[in-house]
Amino acid sequence: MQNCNKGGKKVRYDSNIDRKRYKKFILVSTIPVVSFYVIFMIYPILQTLYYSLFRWSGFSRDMEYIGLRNYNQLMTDSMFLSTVWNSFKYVIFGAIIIITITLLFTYVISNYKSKKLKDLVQMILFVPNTISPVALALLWGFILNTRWGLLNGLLGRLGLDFLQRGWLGDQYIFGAALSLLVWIHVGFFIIMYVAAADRIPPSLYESAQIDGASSWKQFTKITVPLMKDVIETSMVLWTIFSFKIFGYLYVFGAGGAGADAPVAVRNISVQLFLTAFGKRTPINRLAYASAMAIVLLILVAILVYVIRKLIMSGEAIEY
Amino acid sequence: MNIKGGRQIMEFKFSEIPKYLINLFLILWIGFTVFMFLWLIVSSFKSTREIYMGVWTLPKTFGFDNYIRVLTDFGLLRFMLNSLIVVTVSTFLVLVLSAPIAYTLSKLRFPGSSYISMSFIIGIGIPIQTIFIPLYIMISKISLTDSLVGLTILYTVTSLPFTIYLLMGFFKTIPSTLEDAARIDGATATQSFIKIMLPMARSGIISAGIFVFVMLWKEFLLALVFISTESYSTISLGLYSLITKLTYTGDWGGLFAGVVLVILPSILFYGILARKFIAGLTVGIGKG
Repeated sequence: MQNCNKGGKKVRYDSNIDRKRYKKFILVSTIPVVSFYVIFMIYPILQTLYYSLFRWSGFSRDMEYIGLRNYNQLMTDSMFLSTVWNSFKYVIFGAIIIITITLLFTYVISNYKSKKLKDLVQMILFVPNTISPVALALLWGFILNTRWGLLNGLLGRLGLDFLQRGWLGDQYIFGAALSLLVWIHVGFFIIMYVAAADRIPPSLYESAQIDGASSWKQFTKITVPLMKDVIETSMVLWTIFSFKIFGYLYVFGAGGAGADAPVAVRNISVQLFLTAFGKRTPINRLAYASAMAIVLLILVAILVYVIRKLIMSGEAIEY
Repeated sequence: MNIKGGRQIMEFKFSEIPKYLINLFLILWIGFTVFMFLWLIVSSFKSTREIYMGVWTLPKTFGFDNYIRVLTDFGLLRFMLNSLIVVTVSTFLVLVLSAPIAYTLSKLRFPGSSYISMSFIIGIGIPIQTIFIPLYIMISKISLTDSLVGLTILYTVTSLPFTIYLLMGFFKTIPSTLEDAARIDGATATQSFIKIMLPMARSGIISAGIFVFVMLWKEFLLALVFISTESYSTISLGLYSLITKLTYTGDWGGLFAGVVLVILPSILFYGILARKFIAGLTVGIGKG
């Protein structure tokens, strides 16, 4: 964040008269928003931490302080651990697949001469991001439905019956859910990537062009290294997104009829919701779910930190 | 390189094979995306019997039976109205609250302002799941669970960090020269904000507004946690309950009509203003 202020000119207010004249505006614009933010977003994190130290079902005065016992219990809760493992699978496989595809698409899209075509392609790729997760999960489930889904239907028509699978069965459902997330998020990151590729000055490609380097070579040798910071940002964002993802997975696996999402597609977020507010939970276990929330927050923080440290060990790029 | 102009594009070169292959992949990807939505629209006009008979066929007649059924019998109209109210009010509140503070944090820096900016950036990463339990307790203490007012508050607050971040990016791109001139002429901050910055940042504020609107229109988790009565359902939540109801009866025609009704406003709104929308998302790139 060091170069945060490079883009705009900073206005310095050295004279005290200026300060005074601006003080009222600064106070009025800042204080209400910051207090809302603290009351509704920062303070609740501390409260979650506090609840996680109790045995408490929620909505009763009956709270018993039990220290870290909820956390100990989490470490042996096989259901929870498998959702942690799933979350990691979403982060890692998702990052590899999404970043690879997005880079490939950036390569061709940034080489389009026509600005209109460039915009149109990006617009279409982005569309899934604007749509309700409930609608997308339903649609994806219908595509992959074993009996009358579009995919198996298409494979049948093409005479590829041997490729037909029960895509929503235990064996494939994780991949099915991941493919939905890939489809959506490639469209999100492509916009960042193309913008970053377009910002590279054309002069940097001149000598490569004189040498007759292919466009692929120019992309891998010049463009990608210069996009390092955007790739890093996208990895951080994906880490946060994939741990937070809820709607797509909750609805996708649920298969209607009010059944809970199958364990194979659940990430921590889904498990946390089901523990705290799930219909099937006999009693709300809000304190136990709070412990899950803290684990979620810590995992995201650690991963983001590790990504920043490992990948951005090099110096900032200047061009 | 460009001397030969158009002919260059048509020429086949072995070294450019990766480009052709990836272009093909991209075309398939886009074709799939476009086809999915067209297929969905076509299917929403089919009767459930027709869907069971074949998912690849066209409907015999394009009637609006499915649409009328989900809008009235299943209350989708009500859900859409609820969403429209909550999302419009929230978007308005978010912009009114975010624009001044974004201006303050990007242009009128004061001791500690960088910490506040930083805390909003961190706030973007806070998963709702880590705060929804205390929020639930808090909101139920003031009896605003299962209420559109409560949901509006939550939508507004949770949208603040990202909107402030977006708008700060916009304000930073606006040169300070006019503002400086106004300051020398003795304008107050309020005057230069309203008279100079707001008009210049108009497109940025519109983009941020579209972004917030589209994101809140599709919001699901908060609605699921905080709304339990059907009459207060938002569109995403309503569609979810529609799914659980209609899969019992196997009414896929109705379901597809419901999905079309849910996504149509998003796509229309986004389609009209997509360029601004994308510009809004990329303004911060390269600025850290």
